[in-house]
Amino acid sequence: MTEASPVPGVSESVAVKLDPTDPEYMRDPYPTYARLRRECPVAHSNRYGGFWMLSRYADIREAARDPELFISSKGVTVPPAGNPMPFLPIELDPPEHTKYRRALQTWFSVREMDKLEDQIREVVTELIDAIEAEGHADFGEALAGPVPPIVIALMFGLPRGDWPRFRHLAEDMVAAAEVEDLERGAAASIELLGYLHTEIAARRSEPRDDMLSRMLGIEIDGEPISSDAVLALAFFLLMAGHETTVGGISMMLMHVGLNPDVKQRLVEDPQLISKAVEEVLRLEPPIQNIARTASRDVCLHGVTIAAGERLLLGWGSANRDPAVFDNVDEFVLDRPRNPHLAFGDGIHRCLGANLARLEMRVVLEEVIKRIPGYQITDTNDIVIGGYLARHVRQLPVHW
Amino acid sequence: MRIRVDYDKCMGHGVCEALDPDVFRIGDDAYTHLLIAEPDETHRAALADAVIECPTGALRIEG
Repeated sequence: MTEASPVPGVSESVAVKLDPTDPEYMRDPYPTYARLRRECPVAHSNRYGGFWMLSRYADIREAARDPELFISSKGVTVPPAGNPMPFLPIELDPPEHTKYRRALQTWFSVREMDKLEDQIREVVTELIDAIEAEGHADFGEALAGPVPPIVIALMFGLPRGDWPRFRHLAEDMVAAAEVEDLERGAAASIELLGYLHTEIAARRSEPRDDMLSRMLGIEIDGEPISSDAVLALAFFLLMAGHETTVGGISMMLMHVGLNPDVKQRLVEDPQLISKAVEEVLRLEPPIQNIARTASRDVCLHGVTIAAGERLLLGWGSANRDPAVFDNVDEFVLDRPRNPHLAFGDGIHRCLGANLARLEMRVVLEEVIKRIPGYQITDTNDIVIGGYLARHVRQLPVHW
Repeated sequence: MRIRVDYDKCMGHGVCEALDPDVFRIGDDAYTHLLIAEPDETHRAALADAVIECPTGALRIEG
């Protein structure tokens, strides 16, 4: 908050804390969210060129469900992720968005994802084989980091061994965006685009049975989509298809490790694992917020957001709103309902939600089966990072 | 009770299918389809959740 534009009900300290680059906020943004929900439901930050943030569940849900008022075509991240072409389809508005979404929706249905379960389990099994006898590991590096990019490589039909390369590039692009290092971000994204361009070109001449080939076959209004659109789509699905799930898996292994009672119940009754996955998604959504742009002036809780201004929908805050959930900061396995917004809401709700859930469930099932006694070695060694895609970078455990 | 699907709003996200797979199924056309025309009371809680949680607000219950 600047002196120049005070917002009613905001204390200076709250506003100062709404700087996503503050390491303390990065590590634990939840106390800030709690204050914002109480004191300042429409908050403003001057970071990254200025943005608003909604923190209450009901407000966020309503805004997400009004894609005419709050549009996505001006970008969905603050700061911009440095993507040289729009992220498709999430950075489209209706009616274009609807056409892309329809074309893609069935690729990620529960039944399509179920077909991948055995392959995902094989990947996880191999990774656990490699560490089981060691008695210790960094679960971030050994499991959460590799599983999602290996799985997306399988789905796209990319050589499995390529995953460290594109994961590194995706990470670098996002990390550069967070510190507004445009040059470094551009270098990473150009290399990533070049890599995908080559893979797509190979399939244009010789289609295969993989998702990249299927992207070439998408038709909108009876016409094949442009080469640029195929590349933009591949770029976004590759990024969104792994960066976020690295966060989901790492946060899950951390929270289960931090809650031995929960872990014990999962060992005794593995049927509860799906509930644990949902609860972790509630507690720690890897995408803590998504940006929209107001298409016209709008007044919320007495605060005017002007046309063209950006606002964040704070999923991470909505998920701990006591108006919707009890014991918001606790890992509760037995929630009768868990309508968290980790996958967003409205027309842009996560396309890959079923894939993310499946990967998280399979990882937790295998860990609970094979390394049920794992413990976090020293909580001081846990390193959480990533503002645009929150995850545990380092999670040393032993068993 | 009866479920009404607004097919102008349904985008096939599949939240309903996840909440009650006995009643909803996302078809190859990326729309939800009702597997049971008139679900009995045992489905009411799940269906009420589906109505609230449908991300595009495409569902309602009658009766």
